[in-house]
Amino acid sequence: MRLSWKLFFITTPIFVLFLTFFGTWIIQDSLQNSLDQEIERCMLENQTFQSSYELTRNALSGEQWEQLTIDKAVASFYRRDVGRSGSMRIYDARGEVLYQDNALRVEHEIREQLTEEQNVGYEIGQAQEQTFVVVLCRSSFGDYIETTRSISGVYEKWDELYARYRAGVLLLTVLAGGVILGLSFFMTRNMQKLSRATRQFAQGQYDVRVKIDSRDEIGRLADDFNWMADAMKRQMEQLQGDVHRQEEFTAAFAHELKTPLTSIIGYADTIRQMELSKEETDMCADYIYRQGKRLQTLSYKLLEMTMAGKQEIVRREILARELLEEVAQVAGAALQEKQISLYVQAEEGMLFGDRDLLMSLFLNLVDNARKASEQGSSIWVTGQAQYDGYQITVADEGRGIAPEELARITEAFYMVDKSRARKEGGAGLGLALCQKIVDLHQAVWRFESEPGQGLRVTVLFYNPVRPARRPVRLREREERQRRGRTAGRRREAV
Amino acid sequence: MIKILIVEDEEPIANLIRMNLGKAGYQCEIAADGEAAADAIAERPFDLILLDIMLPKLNGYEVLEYAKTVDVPVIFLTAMGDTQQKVKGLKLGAEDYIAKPFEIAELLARVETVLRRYRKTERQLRLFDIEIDTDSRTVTQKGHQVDLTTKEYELLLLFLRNKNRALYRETIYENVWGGEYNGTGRTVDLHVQRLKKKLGLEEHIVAIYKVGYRLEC
Repeated sequence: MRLSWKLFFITTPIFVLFLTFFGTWIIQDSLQNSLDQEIERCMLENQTFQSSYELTRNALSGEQWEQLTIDKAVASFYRRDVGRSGSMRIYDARGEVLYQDNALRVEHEIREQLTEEQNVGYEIGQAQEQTFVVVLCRSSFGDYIETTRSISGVYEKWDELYARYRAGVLLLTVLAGGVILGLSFFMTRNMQKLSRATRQFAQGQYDVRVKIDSRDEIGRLADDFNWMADAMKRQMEQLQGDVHRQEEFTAAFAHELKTPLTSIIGYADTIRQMELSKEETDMCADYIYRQGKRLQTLSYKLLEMTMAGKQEIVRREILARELLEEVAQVAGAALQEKQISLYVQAEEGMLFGDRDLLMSLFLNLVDNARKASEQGSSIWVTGQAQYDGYQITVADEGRGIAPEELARITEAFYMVDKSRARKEGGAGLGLALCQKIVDLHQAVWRFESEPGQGLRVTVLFYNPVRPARRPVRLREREERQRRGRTAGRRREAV
Repeated sequence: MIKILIVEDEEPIANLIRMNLGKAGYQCEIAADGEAAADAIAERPFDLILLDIMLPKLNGYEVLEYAKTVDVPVIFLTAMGDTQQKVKGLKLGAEDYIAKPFEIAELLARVETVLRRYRKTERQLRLFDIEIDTDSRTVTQKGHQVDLTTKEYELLLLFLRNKNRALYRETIYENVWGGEYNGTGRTVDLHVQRLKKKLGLEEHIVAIYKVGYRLEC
């Protein structure tokens, strides 16, 4: 059931209930009042009659009273009010009626209840289908005076009032119900808006937002909804981006896997199906070997990348110079083949990171530089201490990279010159791996190059922001000032 | 002689195709990127183009559109398992596609099929005293028609296309019957025996131990 209907069905009965209680109470009260008034009036009439009767009878002597008929005596002081039905009656102690102006008689038992102290009483009774109040008093002469007065008017009035009240309640109920229903519909309209928006959102319309300009709870709920929708949308876009990247990676990976496989399967198939000359067989075998190697490189690089991606790195202090010299040592043999000189020049300073990953990073960068370099050229690896970190630059004199290619070189499987990269045994994953390592260390890097002008890769490692590190940095700086800024060591790999 | 243009930027794959098509009697030329391919198509007539999709400079689809203007049938090579790519290539007017990695027999079969569709191959094939008419699918020997079943006929064509080449039982099965070869059935042997008997090729189709058969001529 809708909330507005619930509100309606709860509020309206409560309203009607209160209205009924209150109305009934008022009406009952007014009835009682009128009744009391009528009784009072009847008493007064009775009392007046009694006084007049006693006065008249006292004024006359016994004989005079005997001579005078009681009717005449009463007529001298009492005249019946014609407008109202009722009666006045006098009877003696034995119950003999002495006087009555009217034959109307209402049965009552007041006489039995009268005592010495209480010589007047009343009762309400029925006669001739009317309601009457009967007042009976004992006069000082020992006889009884009975006054009867119709109070049907009061009851009729009451009935009329009650009927009017019922009609009023009905009308009011309908009116109030309508108003309550309208109001609750109005109040829950925003809620419906919100629920509609939620449904739309759930059905995939992620741009849906709720516009509710009220400051109540629903308004706040709408704000919360919008906030949640924004957050969800952001998250979803991020997830979609991730999925997209993952798909691209998978597609590129499948391509990279299938290309060497095609050669391996194809050449092997050729060898086993055909009788080939020695040269042809050698050529096929060579292709199979080299493409197999390519697959091996691919799988190693991929493994490294997965490892780098999963690792929770433990960052330790590493002496920058030591690290770079080790890189030079490891890369030495490959560089010697092409007679490339490697110069390492590093200022005193610390790196905070994982030694193996950083080795891998700089070995990759130096290896890239080697691949891009001509025979007999040079590669420079420079380390500089910065006020908030340590900066390492790997620069070569190689063929460089066009500006439009620079943005894409960190993509997995992206190769600027595919055929050359293949010859050098590249899988197109080196810089993608480096990117991961750089990210893991919260470092930043940039590439500067012009075609034919060589490539300069600069990696900036930030010192961890911890007060405890400060003295170390200060000490380093002092040491640096003492030694002079150019104090670095030169090292040739060749 | 039938001339085929191989457009493939991976040198090992390009050489592999050239080597095998060359041995099958086709004349091949290699273009290593899209622009070189377009130049070659513009300058020289080709009977068929084998086209890689992922190419430097111009991609395969662009080369395909260009090739359509000179009415050369195109078979494209793709490393992507993506159905959409295949559909896109076929919609653009390629005759067929070959998914990498492929087997040599499959490559030859598809090349042959497309060439036959374009009537680039000879309709009359000859093997010793056997004449084969690929239009009417009839085989005659010394003027007498020989009745061959469909499978036997396709088997004969397969041997003809792969002269002096060892055909593995699985290769034969996959090309003639289609589907995966389970390695145990005698279907292939049975049909080869019947074909040999019907055409008197007992001396020319030789069994190779543990491998399959080879047509020697």
